[in-house]
Amino acid sequence: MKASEEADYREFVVSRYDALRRVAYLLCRDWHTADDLVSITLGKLYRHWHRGKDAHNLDAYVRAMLTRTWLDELRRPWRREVATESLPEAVQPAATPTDRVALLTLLGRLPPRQRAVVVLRHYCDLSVEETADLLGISVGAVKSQSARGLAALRLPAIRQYASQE
Amino acid sequence: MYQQLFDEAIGNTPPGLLDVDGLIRQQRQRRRGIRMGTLAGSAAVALAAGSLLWAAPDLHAQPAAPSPAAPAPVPPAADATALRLEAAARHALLTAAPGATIDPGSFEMLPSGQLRPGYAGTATFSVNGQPGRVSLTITKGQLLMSCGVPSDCQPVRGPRGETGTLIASTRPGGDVIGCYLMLDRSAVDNTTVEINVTGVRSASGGTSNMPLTVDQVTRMAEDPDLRATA
Repeated sequence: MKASEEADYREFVVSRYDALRRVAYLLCRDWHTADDLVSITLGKLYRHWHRGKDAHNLDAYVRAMLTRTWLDELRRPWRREVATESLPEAVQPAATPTDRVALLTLLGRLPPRQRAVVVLRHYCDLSVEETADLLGISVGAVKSQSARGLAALRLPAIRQYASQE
Repeated sequence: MYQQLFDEAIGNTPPGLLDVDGLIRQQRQRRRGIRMGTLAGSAAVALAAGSLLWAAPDLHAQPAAPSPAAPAPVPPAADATALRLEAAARHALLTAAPGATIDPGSFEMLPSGQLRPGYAGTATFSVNGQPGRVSLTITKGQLLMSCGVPSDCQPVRGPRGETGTLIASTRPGGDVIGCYLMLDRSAVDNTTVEINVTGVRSASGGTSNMPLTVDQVTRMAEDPDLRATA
């Protein structure tokens, strides 16, 4: 990589590092794992910088890398998550620190791909088409996964309460 | 639309140790290693082809007696620091919560990433039938924590002059369901200990309350054996 390209890479990493960590945390809900995921992703980005900077949207390209890295890591036996059928105890919507934890807990209960759809669509603000392209699934699947995910998160209820504040 | 809610949910962001130069250096070395490997591979193929040609007249000769068994590959030496920290982590948990039962395979300490030099391990355990999960990181040196929501952060002070920050998550009823503690022991033994404990609801139901008290988590982080260097 040329010095000028390295400077671009460095600038990109420094400016996006925190945002990437937060996306990674929403996906895996563990800061250590999030740091590892971001670290692996940034290493991959260095190796594929030429392809990345030519991409239509570099941020989306890196988020795609991050999400795939997370999904790959989940396939490793020591990182495999245990799916549960039931949601945690009922949580009353209230604008307290507890709600933040509740939202993260509910997010963590979603199946990995559904969680990825919710994070990419509603946190990273990607379109349905971008999310579908990024995850390699159909537009319809993104829509249904997104609707199910939001329903499970009970976001509308929390949102409604927050707007009453 | 939901971005703000998620950002509020994430809340405080623990410090991330971004060393871009180190990352770039590492990737350069990796690239050099791949190039060297490719060169070495090509050289090995060339040598093998050469030796086959050289040995061609002997190909029809009687097969030679089998050579003695090749030496078995030597397994890599166990990481002494990881083993020491694994034992120390078990000891710290059992000292803080004497009745705790630690699940097999817990606290396997692994180097905790490229940007964060240290060791990390997780454990599942239970105290009085309440399961929980603990994630532990031992980092050499000092980490600085920014507290995004100051009202959530409680200062912690240890008996040896350690300082730390604790963030506990509670239900409306007051039950603690998890906590994160970063204890800066850099002035004592050049170590920073991070512990994240959460309760887990058992398969048979019950609550997901944290199985340890905040005091027990603090005592665990203060354990002198949990140090980055021997």
